[in-house]
Amino acid sequence: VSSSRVDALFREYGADVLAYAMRRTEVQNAEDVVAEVFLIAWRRVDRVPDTEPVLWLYAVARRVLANQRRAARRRKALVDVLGRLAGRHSAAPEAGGLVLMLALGRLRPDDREVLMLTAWEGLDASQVAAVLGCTPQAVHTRLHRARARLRAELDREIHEVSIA
Amino acid sequence: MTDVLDELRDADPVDRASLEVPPALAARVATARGERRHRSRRPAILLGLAVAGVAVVATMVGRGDGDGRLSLADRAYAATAGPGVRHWRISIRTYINGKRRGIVQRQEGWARDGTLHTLLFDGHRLTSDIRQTRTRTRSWSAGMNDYIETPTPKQRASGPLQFGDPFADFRRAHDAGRLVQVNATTYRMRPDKRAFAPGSTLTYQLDPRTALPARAILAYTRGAGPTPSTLDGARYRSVFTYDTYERLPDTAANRAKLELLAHPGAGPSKTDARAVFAILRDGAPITDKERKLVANFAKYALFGKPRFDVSSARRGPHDIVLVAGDGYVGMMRKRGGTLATVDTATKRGMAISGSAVNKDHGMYVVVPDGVKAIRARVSHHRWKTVPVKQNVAVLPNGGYHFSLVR
Repeated sequence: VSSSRVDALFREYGADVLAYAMRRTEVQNAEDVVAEVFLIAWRRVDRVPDTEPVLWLYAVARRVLANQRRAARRRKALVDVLGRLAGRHSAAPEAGGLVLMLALGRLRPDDREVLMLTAWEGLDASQVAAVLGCTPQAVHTRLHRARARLRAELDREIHEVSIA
Repeated sequence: MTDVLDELRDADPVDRASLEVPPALAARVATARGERRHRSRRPAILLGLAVAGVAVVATMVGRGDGDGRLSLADRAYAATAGPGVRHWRISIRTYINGKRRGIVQRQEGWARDGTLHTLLFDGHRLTSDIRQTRTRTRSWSAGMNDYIETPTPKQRASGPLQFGDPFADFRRAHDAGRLVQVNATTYRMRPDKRAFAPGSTLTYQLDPRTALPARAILAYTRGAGPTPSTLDGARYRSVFTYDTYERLPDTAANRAKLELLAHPGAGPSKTDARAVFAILRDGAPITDKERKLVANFAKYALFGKPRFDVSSARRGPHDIVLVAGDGYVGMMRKRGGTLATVDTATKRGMAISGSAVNKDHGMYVVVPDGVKAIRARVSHHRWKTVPVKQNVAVLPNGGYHFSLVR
């Protein structure tokens, strides 16, 4: 039963979890994360909720990535990855794509995650709350603060450039 | 002002609508579950075998053969473990589906406790000189003739066979009882999954006389990547031949091999890039947008070591932007960038290519003043001569080797 449930989850949400991981780490590592997430899902299938299981999978992926980053000098690695992502993907806008990614990379992990989940995974506040394990109200607060901090980082970037 | 969330949405690095899960990943997810199941059943299987009185043919190698004599693996362990400086010279040959590929790579190294010094060669040409302590890594590369110093990663990206003491895995497997004896001189183990491809096998052949390693063979099947390749499913075999593996006495002279020095040829140049590249003297001023990118490049490239002066940046033909640093020169085009010491760039030129970065297929080569043309070719094709205009030559696509015609 658990295998067929996990197979169904993988068919339904495998690409979503892969996209989640690819937005936060290298492609090769993203596949490792997906494999680990669905292995955990198989081991703990009784804990996977029936409603919106993708949020539970995102939360597991988040913890898998966090464990990896603790072992790999989290902040610098992510800044590098975001910089490379900005250079690698044509989806990034021509103007300031790199600057935006680098500014994003300088945010605190909690701020960055709430922004990414909202903008890239397209989740609303209650869904983000389910992934992060907090209340929707806390998400609203964090999102407001994270937007301001990202804007400040972008402004600081431009200011530094003008000084230079 | 545009909402930063909208900007972020536009900058999503993944196109989810067109993203499909690679079949290899799906297979891997299913296999991982299979392996986990198999592992949990193992005690029951072993108990069943014991009850049935079936002898296990493969001998799990522990300390001794059970009759008091040392096995060859024990002797190899005894000969290579313990205090001192380990020194090795190995040659690495790679076979794909049984055919030799690429040139012979060689490695010479020294290791003691957590410190390491490794020289990497392509054939007989030194390409890298890497010295590592527990906290710092200093890496020199021949391509740039420069070194960088970085924190030593806590976890290696590759296994010790490719980088590090190439017999350390054997000793660890011996300690853990994970070696399986294949024949009188050969032992097999499953290498660390974190450092090697899934399903890899690692086989060591020992010299029966000295008990030192003679060869190690790493074999694996290449899985399918996100982009289909003719090599998906190919059988790879890397043969590591130990030309030397020895444990040197722990003397000051031997420890000196492990000092965190820079390679003698390393370091930035004393030449000012503006004296060598006309673009930096006569080029057009850059735009604000380009200045932002150059500023970021200056901040992050090579950990800021080149100290690029953003105000020196100038634009040449084909939107090439050069920027002068402290003994370095940086080259950018749109969002791609590269850098070199001025001496290296003067000697060899510098190039940016690749459609992923620049959204075109050209290869843009920047050469110093006085170079009239470049001679270039794709491997196994004819050489062609390409003219240089204002320090820049353009090739139709990437993958070219080139030399400068002065």
